[in-house]
Amino acid sequence: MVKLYRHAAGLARRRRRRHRKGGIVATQLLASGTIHPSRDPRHLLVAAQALGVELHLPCEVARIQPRQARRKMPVSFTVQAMTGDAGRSCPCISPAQGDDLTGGFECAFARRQVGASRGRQSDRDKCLAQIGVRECHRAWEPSRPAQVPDQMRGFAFRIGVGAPRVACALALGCAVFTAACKPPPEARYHFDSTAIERGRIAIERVGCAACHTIPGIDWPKGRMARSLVGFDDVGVIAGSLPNTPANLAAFVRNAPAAKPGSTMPVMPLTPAESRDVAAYLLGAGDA
Amino acid sequence: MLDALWGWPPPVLDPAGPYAASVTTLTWALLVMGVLVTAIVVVALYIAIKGPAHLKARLGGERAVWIGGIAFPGVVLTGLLIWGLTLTASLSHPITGKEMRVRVTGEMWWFRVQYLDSQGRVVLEDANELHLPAGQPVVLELRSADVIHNFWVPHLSGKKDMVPGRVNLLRVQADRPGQFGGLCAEYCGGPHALMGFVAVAHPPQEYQAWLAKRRAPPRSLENTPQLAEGRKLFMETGCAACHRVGGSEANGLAGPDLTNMGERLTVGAGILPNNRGTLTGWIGDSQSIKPGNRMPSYDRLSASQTEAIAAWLEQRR
Repeated sequence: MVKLYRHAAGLARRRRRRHRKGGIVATQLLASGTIHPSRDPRHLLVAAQALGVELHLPCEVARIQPRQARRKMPVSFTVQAMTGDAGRSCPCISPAQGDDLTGGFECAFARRQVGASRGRQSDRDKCLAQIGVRECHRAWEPSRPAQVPDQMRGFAFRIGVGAPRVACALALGCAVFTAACKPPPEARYHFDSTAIERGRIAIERVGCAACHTIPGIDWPKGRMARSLVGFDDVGVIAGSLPNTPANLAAFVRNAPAAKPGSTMPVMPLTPAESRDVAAYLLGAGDA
Repeated sequence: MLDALWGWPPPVLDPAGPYAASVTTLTWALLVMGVLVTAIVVVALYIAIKGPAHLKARLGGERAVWIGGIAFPGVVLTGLLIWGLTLTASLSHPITGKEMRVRVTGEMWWFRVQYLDSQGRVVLEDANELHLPAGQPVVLELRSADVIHNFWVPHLSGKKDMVPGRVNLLRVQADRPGQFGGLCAEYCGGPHALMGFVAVAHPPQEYQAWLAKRRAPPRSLENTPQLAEGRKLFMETGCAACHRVGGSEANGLAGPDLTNMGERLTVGAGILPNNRGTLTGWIGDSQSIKPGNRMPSYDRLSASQTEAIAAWLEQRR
């Protein structure tokens, strides 16, 4: 609790400074989002109410589909925001906070500065993109902790920045924001569990694991080709094809046709089996 | 891994032939007898401790000792012994010498399989796979080249040791065509757990056709640049020093015969399905698949070179 107050106080100072300097000179709506009660039980244990926030990016960023939530991320608001004391709340999470999401959120992603180019060195090294939450200063009802007030549903994130490299910085910031936070509660694609199980059987039948280490396959754990642990997080297949279920299914069945020059041989899979294998690789997780 | 193929480990109580069937029957009979006797003992103990006085007295009487202690075990155990010996007598019938004979030699960590003719000469060499005609007994000459191994195809027979310097004979028979998994059942070091085997039972006519095809001179085509490169690499990078490939100059004897590699069901001694991918992976990095096996990982070859070797081996059928 003490930590939260201190943090919020620091934020308020920083915000005042920025307003004084006119650091935030432009406001652009670059990402919209929705807010909902978090499904991550870990975050229900913290003092502040946990919420899930989904960001929707209008532009394409590597590893993130446009207009599609890459990951749902649980966050929670500060005590001040919940009790209505904070006025316009703009809490932060610094990278050092890691998984401790008892604040709002803010992304620092590089040493380049965006916005306060006339700021001090310490400012320059710090917070670079800031995602403020508008309209969240309404009182939070502790008696109904699992419900989100109507005012907080479907609102937009206002993103204030003030320098030319706005779009790029924000996109990168959002990428860091969505990719760097643990734990990942949701996978990118959702597959039928029977398809995933059929995929595992097909993988064992043709012996993919002779060359690849595959999560969930105890033996063998081949080292000749790349490990497929965490394949859902890989942006491109074999360095060229976008990592979508359709591309992956085509690739595991006939890699030289899907990517000329691939050193992975044709595998004896039927088209249906190859779709199941893709489901396994993208949907089975790393357990 | 192979549960998608032939069931791994192979089920031990699913006989596919007479020699395994008698063992399975005996197993069930002994299990039932064991449960029965244990139940009688438990009931007797309960009576002796908590039972009514007249039952206690009867249990401690001389008559109970005569019946329960001498007559019952004597009759039942003698009967069981005679029945068991009769049931399994077929396992130890003398070998007539007319059966088909196959020499199976345990090596670290694979099985060398040699088909013998009636004079005991080797007519065909293979590895990790036994093809046999269904419905006929086959005598296996079990040997070992290094340490004690144990040959066990649970569908077809009980297990038998392969002892260095000895020849143990084991009769197997499959009554139905099919593929039956087997394994080495005696710890033989390192990758013992990855020393597998497949027995393939054919209908008798198909078996004769299979044998004739295998004994015909092997066909080898090098009509694409990849196959020509594969052959060249096989001869020059050291494969040929350990592996024999019929119809080529490769005549190494240390490792499995690869003359008909394209028809083999498995790669790496019964452990992986045989396809281009697994064969390439095995050649390139067999040590990650079967750590400690005697084939080095050919990680100094490029992926396309490894695949060329696999392609050349794969078309040998």
